[in-house]
Amino acid sequence: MSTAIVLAGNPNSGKTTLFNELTGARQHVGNYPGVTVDKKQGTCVGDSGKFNIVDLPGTYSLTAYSLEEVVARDFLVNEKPSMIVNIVDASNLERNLYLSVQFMEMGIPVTIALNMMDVAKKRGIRIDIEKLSRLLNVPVVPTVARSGEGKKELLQTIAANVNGNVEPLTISYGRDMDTALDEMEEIIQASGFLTEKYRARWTAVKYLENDSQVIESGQKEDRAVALQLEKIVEKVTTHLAATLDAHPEGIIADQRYGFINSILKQNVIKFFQDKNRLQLSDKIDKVVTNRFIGPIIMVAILMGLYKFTFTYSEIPIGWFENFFGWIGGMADSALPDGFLKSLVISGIIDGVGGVLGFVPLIMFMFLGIAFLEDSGYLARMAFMLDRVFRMFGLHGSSVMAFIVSGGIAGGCAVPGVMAARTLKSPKERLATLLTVPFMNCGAKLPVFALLVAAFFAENEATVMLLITMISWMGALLVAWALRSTIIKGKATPFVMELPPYRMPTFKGILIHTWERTWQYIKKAGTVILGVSIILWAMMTFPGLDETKTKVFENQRTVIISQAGATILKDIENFEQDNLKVTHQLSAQALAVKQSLTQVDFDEAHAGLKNSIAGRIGSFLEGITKFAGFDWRTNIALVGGFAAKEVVVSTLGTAYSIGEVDPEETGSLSKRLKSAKGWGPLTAFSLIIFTIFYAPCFVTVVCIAKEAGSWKWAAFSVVFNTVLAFGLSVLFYQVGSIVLT
Amino acid sequence: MDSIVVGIIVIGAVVFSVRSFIKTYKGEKGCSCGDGCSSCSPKKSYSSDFPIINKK
Amino acid sequence: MEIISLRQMRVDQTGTIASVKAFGELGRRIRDMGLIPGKEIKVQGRAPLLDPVSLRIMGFTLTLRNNEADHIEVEV
Repeated sequence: MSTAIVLAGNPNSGKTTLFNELTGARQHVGNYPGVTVDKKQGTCVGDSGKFNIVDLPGTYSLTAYSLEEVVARDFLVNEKPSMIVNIVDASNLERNLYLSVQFMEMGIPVTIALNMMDVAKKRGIRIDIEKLSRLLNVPVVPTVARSGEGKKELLQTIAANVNGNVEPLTISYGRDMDTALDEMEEIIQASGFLTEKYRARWTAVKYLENDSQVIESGQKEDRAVALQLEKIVEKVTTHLAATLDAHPEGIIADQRYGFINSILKQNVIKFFQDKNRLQLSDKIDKVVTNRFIGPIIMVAILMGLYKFTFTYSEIPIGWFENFFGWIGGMADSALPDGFLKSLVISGIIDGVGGVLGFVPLIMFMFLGIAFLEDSGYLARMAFMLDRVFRMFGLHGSSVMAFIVSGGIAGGCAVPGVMAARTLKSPKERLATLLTVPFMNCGAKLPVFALLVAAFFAENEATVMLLITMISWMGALLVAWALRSTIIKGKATPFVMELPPYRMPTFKGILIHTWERTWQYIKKAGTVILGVSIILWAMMTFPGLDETKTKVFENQRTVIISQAGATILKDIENFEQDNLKVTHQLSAQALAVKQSLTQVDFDEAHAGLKNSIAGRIGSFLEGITKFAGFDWRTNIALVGGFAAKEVVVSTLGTAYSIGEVDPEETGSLSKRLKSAKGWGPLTAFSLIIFTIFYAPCFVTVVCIAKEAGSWKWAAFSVVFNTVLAFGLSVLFYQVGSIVLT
Repeated sequence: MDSIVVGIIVIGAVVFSVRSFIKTYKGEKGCSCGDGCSSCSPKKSYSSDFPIINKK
Repeated sequence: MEIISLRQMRVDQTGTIASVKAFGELGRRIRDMGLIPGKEIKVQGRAPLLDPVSLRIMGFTLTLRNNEADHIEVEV
């Protein structure tokens, strides 16, 4: 009933746009089993039928060069889709066809969606589609994914061709190689070597290409046959080296392009402008990557992003705060005093609410970043920063790993750590692994936002920029320090396409933004909720013992007995009138009420300090006081090990349990601002600590996996925390001296 | 009564947290990062910049 | 017509690739992106620190480090 098809093509070919056009909201992101590559799937229902579409990762080739390519290849081989819809960028036809040709060699039906026809037209590129299709022996449908043009025809063409049995494309790779290929093909066919998975000739070609994945599978499948094939490859390689000074891989690439060229030359494509003429993107780049202006523009863009985020999220954050305050008020009047009420208000509402309150900020930040990503600017950043990064022992790819982890803001260290796996040199890899957690991941954002809003409200964007720069400088310096302790290894290539600038589609950005915002919300409602409840329990139990409670009881009795009966009646009426506020307290009654509240406050405070968490926090205070942290902050930081957002939720709970006055329902920012022991100095010290200290649990596990041992994971926890503490103490102490 | 409800909630939270930690450790959760599973893989445009290391 | 290393080319200079002497990962990657003998390239620009270099080839822009560009010889 529904046909399984696959979308594949080069990065920047408009594949995602087409996928969105075809599936709309009917898409979801999952995982390929065992690897951390996104599996995007969706359905498309229309006149031509129902299609289950899998959007394969963008790749330039099907060699075993990158994880994406292996995933794409494996999917094609194992799932055997009915059709590969190959998105080809018409303005970049030659290179795009390199991948197409490899699909055709696999023998799976291919339909080419010749995308970006509008861009091609603007560049004076005219393509004879009919001829192209004929010569390639594959249906070709022109499309402009951005506007949806060609969508209907594409689906019709797919439906029409889905059940064809296709002959795999066979390209001649030169006499020597063809002979070797024939020889290998025979052996493979005869012994059924990997034939359930791959076609014989394809396997042979992969052997000549020195494809590590296939060779490895081959050795596992049948050592003897594998050895035979490898011998043939060796023979032809030596022969070619001696006679043509060439290598099979090089020849294969040459021949593939040669095949493509032979087709294009037959009047398939006509250029009315110089191919390599400067386009608008290139002109922009001349400025944007300029020696002097480039870096300035980069900083300006970051500043602009932060300014945009803080300015426009302010009002919605206010709404959220009011909303949570309102819910808190409802809970307060609806529930009887006791543990449950405390759990609900202090643990859940003030805890998770603190984290959810920042959703607008997160959303605006993601929006801005999605815009930067989709526009292509991030590639320019990697381009400009590569050399700088290399000076510190890192790598241009590390720039991407950093940005993905939150280099600008909002990301996650986990994919950054994964990205490090691709760096060849163990030095580069470890340096990246251990410094990527310094970035402003999405979980740290609320922590920074909270502190910045409370203590640096006049200069939010500037402080944010400062935070970003501190984290990058810290990362680079630590990387550099680490490199002097580990031996140098081979560097990883930095060959990257600089895609033309694109005006991001509104739809695309919204989808991106919403995906990530939703993840943030989900995490708050699950992991953080769970941890908040646990922390609440740790901050409530054990309560005060009998003797202590008696002390506070006595204090209250004293106050009440000293107050007159009229005053007490006054207070009672006032409290019952709570929601109507028709009652005004006399000055004396007010004074009595306040002292009673103070006793309650002191009692709750003592209770908190006496709890498990409180005791741990107080215990740590011995050393943390040098960084300006009190016991409550300590609890929050310990909680931050589960997830950095928990720092916010724990502070929310800690300052809520001590807060007995129901009228005091201000936001956490306001509470911190007026709390004892807090000020800009402490706040910034905390910010510094948060930037550098131990990564969250999930990241630590990831580091252990990627580095191959728990040793490095432990190192990241200990080293980062010690470093963070050192820096915080330094900052706080120096700052205190300077300010007095 | 109050304490029982609280107790159940707290124990529930503990169980839930422990289970998610175990899942993370085993790697069953595809993406445990909290900020957009789309960011779990290197950005699309640069995806082919990430070559794999031969499997250890 | 002389043959020089790609690194020695000036901005806005064009040439035709004469040979690509890179192997393994790097070689594969370079070739996948279309840097093969016979292709015409034009140096578009260099990063603020003069490394990496960005080139125009087959109608798109590619960036490459200087020490990677060293493997490529161009006829100018």
